[in-house]
Amino acid sequence: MNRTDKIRLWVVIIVVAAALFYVWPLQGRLNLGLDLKGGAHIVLQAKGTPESPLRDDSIDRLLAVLRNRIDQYGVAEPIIQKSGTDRIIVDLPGIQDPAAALELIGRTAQMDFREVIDVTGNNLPAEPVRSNYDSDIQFVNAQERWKEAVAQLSNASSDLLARSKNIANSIVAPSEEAGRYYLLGQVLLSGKDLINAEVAPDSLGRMGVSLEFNSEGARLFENATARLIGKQLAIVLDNVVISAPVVQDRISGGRAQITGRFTADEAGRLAIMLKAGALPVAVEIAENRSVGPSLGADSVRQGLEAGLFGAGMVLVFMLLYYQFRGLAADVALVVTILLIFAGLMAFNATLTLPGIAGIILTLGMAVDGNVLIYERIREERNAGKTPMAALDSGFRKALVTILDSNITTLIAALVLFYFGSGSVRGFGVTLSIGLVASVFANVVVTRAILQMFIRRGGEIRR
Amino acid sequence: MSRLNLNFDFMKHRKFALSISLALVIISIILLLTRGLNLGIDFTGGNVIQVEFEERPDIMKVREVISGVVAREAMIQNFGEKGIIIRTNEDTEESRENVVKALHNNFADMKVTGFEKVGPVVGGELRRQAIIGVTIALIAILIYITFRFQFRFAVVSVVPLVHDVIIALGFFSLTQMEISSSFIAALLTIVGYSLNNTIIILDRVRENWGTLSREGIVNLVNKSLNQTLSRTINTTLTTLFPVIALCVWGGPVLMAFSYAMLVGIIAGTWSSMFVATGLLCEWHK
Repeated sequence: MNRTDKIRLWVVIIVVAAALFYVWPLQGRLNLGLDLKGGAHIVLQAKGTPESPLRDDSIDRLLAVLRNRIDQYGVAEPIIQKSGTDRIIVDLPGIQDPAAALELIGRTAQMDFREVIDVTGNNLPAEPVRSNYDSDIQFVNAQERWKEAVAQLSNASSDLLARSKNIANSIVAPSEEAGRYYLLGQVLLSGKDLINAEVAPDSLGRMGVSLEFNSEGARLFENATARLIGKQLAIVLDNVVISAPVVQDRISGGRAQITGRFTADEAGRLAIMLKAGALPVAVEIAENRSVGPSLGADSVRQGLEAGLFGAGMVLVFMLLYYQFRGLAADVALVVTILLIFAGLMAFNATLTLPGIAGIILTLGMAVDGNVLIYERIREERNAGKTPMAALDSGFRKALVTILDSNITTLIAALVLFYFGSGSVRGFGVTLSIGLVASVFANVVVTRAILQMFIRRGGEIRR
Repeated sequence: MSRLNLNFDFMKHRKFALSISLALVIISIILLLTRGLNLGIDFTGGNVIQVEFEERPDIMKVREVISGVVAREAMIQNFGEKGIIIRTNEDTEESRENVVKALHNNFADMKVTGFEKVGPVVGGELRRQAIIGVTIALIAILIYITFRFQFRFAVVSVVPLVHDVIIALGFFSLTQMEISSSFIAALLTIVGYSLNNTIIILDRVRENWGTLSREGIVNLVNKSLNQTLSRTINTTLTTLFPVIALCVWGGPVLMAFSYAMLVGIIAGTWSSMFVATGLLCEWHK
């Protein structure tokens, strides 16, 4: 063996050994995308309002509040990051109830206590359904009555709105149950004076949240309850009245209890939101993708199956068509796959479903380098060169072509990486890593194997 | 095959081959203009809900249940063995919640396995990104080839790419398969693959360029095509194997991606062998 051959062989041995050492054990160390392991990917868009406009630090404060909420909710390895100037990306892997998580992070949770100045009459009854009535006439009558009630309510709420204009800092807010509107006075106490919030059922066993205020809050609460004995005090969450109890007594000590129509889960989320604080600006859910764990597992299984079948067909084809050289190409292909996984780990890249497709595709394209080289060698042999000379010039001539063709594909892959987002970006990464790995395998690994083969008297058929 | 000295006269029928390509491109463009594309919510905004049942109910029954809560028409398809996928163009959270609630009330064994919501802003951005991405990729490739070969080669190798992309789009217009963001990835991979093929053939043309005055462009191109023929066939096969595996076993999520690749690879191989070379012959006469 001459010097170059030795160096080449050692490079192959070292690279393969290092990659093996690095990759092992694969289990649990490869980042899987949310589309594979299940979870929620949520993009929030901050929306300024006249009361709380978007400022430079809004997003940072928003991030802090969201981190706080998600930490308390207990999600393993969440990713919460800024995107652009007014967006936040939240990735919650493995959560079971995406809808609940969505409510937890999307809700402003601004809590206020206000005096109830007036309220519209009774709750609105449910809209009539035909199946509950014996005849069409009764049903039509019921519909008429219901429409009348709706009209009355709308008149009453307009009245409240008109009155609200004359009272400083007052608002009109609907109740949680449909059909009631409250005219509310100024804010007496708000969520920022809270120090703790916990789930606690009341004496009747209804779910509620117990609140604990700081000393300033305790003082404000005591003053308010003292002034409002016998009147209603409204607890308003995001401009909806969740309850409006009548104050029985002056309450000192800074503790209060809110009860509404909560389930235990809802009360738990409310407690978290109150404790973590209100979002500094309102957010809108711009994008939301959730994949259940079972769907993700299906995708992985199907991707693996397709990959194994595809790789198997390529391996067998190369072996049948090129025989010993095919075996060398197959070894190179296995090295390519090994290097792709090592590369994914080294760049801390996330494997997504399109990424798996990218790897499978790379398998087919990776042997292209081998095909090019082998066809060249065959031509050189046909031109009458010795096996060694044919091998040498075959590799040399094919190299230019291999580089040209792979660099152009790499351009497309890099564009995907820069302009794509999410899973498309993941595809760009795996494709790029795959291209580099396959060029190395074609040019260096295959050559090292064939060089050894021919030195030992192996023949390359014409 | 590899032992034969091949000498097919590919370029004899180049006008015929070019006409076929031109016809396919025109048909694709007409399809795109009349039928349009079935853009997924990634581009349009909207809600997608994937649910699974113990025993899958009839789609018509599901449609009936949903029609009460969705104002605009919903698209409902079977998904996998027990699942159903529902797509609406309404992009609010409430819309999704209403659909789930209605399904729950009617099918006790229903489970939500996944959902996606894309707001209108994100959808518009993605559309813009896709167009910018593909354009930049094509320009960058054009520059690279001009630099490595010559401008004429760059032009005849970019024309097939446009050809392949239009035909892949035409296929999706014809079949009305849904286009998601991973379709962009498929398109750019098609571009990469087709270009790969074209460059390998043009590389051989460049190598044989010295004999141009003696042989003439048609013979030169024919010789180059024959010299690279077994490589073209073998690589097309080894790339088609995994893509066919993806089409058959890849599962419903990757379906559109896999078929885009299948069509792209066939179109790409054809255009490298006949369109790029045919144009070069015509240009050089």
